[in-house]
Amino acid sequence: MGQTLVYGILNGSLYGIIALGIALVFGIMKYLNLAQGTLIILGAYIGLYLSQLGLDPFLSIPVVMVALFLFAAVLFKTCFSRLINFDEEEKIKNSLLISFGLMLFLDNLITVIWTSDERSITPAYSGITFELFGLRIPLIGLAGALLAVILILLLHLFLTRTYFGQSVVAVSQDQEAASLMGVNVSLTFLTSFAISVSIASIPSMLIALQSFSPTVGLHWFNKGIVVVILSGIGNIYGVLPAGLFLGIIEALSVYIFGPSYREVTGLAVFVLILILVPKGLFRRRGAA
Amino acid sequence: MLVVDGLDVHYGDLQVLWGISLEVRDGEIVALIGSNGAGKSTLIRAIAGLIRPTKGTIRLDHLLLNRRPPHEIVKAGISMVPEGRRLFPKMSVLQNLRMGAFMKKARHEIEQTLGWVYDIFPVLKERSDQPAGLLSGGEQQMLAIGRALMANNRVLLLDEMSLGLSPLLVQNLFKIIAQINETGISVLIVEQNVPMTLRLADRAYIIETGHIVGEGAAESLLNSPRVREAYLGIGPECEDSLGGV
Repeated sequence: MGQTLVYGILNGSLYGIIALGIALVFGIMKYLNLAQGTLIILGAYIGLYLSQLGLDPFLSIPVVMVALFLFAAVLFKTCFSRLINFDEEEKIKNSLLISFGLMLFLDNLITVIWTSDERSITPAYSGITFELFGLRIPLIGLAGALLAVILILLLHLFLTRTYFGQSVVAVSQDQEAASLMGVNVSLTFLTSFAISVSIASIPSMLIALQSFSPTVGLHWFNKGIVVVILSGIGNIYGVLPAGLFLGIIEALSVYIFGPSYREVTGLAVFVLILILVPKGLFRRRGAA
Repeated sequence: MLVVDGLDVHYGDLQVLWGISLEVRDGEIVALIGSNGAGKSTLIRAIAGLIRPTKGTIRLDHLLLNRRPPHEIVKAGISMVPEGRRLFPKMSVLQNLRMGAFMKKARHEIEQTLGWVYDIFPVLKERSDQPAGLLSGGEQQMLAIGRALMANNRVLLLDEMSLGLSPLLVQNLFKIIAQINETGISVLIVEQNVPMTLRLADRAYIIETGHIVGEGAAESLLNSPRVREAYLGIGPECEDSLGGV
């Protein structure tokens, strides 16, 4: 039971960071980026390429981060920048369509470049676990969970302590008013999108250390969006607890009903929560 | 001096402003009056860069401003208090004011400007830690004006600031606008409350269905029979019902 919870928590923190990228883009820009999962997988392939060159997966995170940041900036300029001045509903609908097309395109592009074989990165330390209070804790999972916590703290400091971060929060609350304060909204959108996508480098690496293939992006997006909705849409501080919640529910389901019902239980609980608490579990007043 | 010359604005195929020309000289208060849907707000939004004009020019001194995005217009020296206040509701009062000084040049003077704004609106200092969304309507309007002042700009655009506020509060706000103007800030004001606005302003333009149909010293417009009938809803015989500042 305790062991089950450990795996639930570690998986859940992975769900949490995946959701963070989606929640940021949605919270700030009201764009729904369906391609986030595929961009995570793209990051995993870049990480695979780097590991073939001999770079350690964890050390390659910053490189993947920069690569995804630049790629996202180009994507934004070419595909998403026209939506900036649309109203909220039009933004959601149009970004959904654009990112869906993008997802299909990137999925296939990845297949062309890297074939559809299932891959994984296996460094020497990939199987290492250590014991704590009689529980086995995998090293990589723990590192992932720590990275998730550090990332959210950094993001919090960025949003609350820097002028640029405050302008991002302002844009998320009233885009037009922010522009009247002298905030360059297009630049803020571009940067926020690129940051949100570059955050994907951490789940990229964690997933690369498990296993991945070109078309699993949507599966991970689904996990992410479930967590985003559980946490309360637009609330970036709720994603980690909501991710842990989903991870633990899934782990408990494996423990009680067996592995084949894992996804079903997770989604059933999700639907139940949507019915009972439609605004999400961690909705609160406060910044962004 | 802010000069608008021959401005046309379209919403899609629909033309809403036709060859608008006006000027706001340094240190002046200029009012734009007209009925609902005449195009007052459209004009002021076009000056702020929120709407792109299809023809004509907007200049601040020698700087050409039309076709520029709003953030560049703020940098050029024009701040706007938008209709409906448009605060950042989840940010505190202080954070809202700090956002007003987002521009680099305003950031350097932020502490001084903040002191000045707190002097004008002491209530904002008392409420500085509260979320802006929880303020009363009047306090929110004060915050909206204070936030615009934080940019330390020479021209202030005010769009329908009295909307939804009690007459007493509106009177106070008008007094404060006069006070702000005395520090040398030019004001372009769009208002439904015609008598009060004309008493505050130096000059005024009358705008009807997208055209400027009259202009002049505010005082003479206030006494012209045509304005009284069209915008004050009164004939010459009932002098006393005008609200005053």
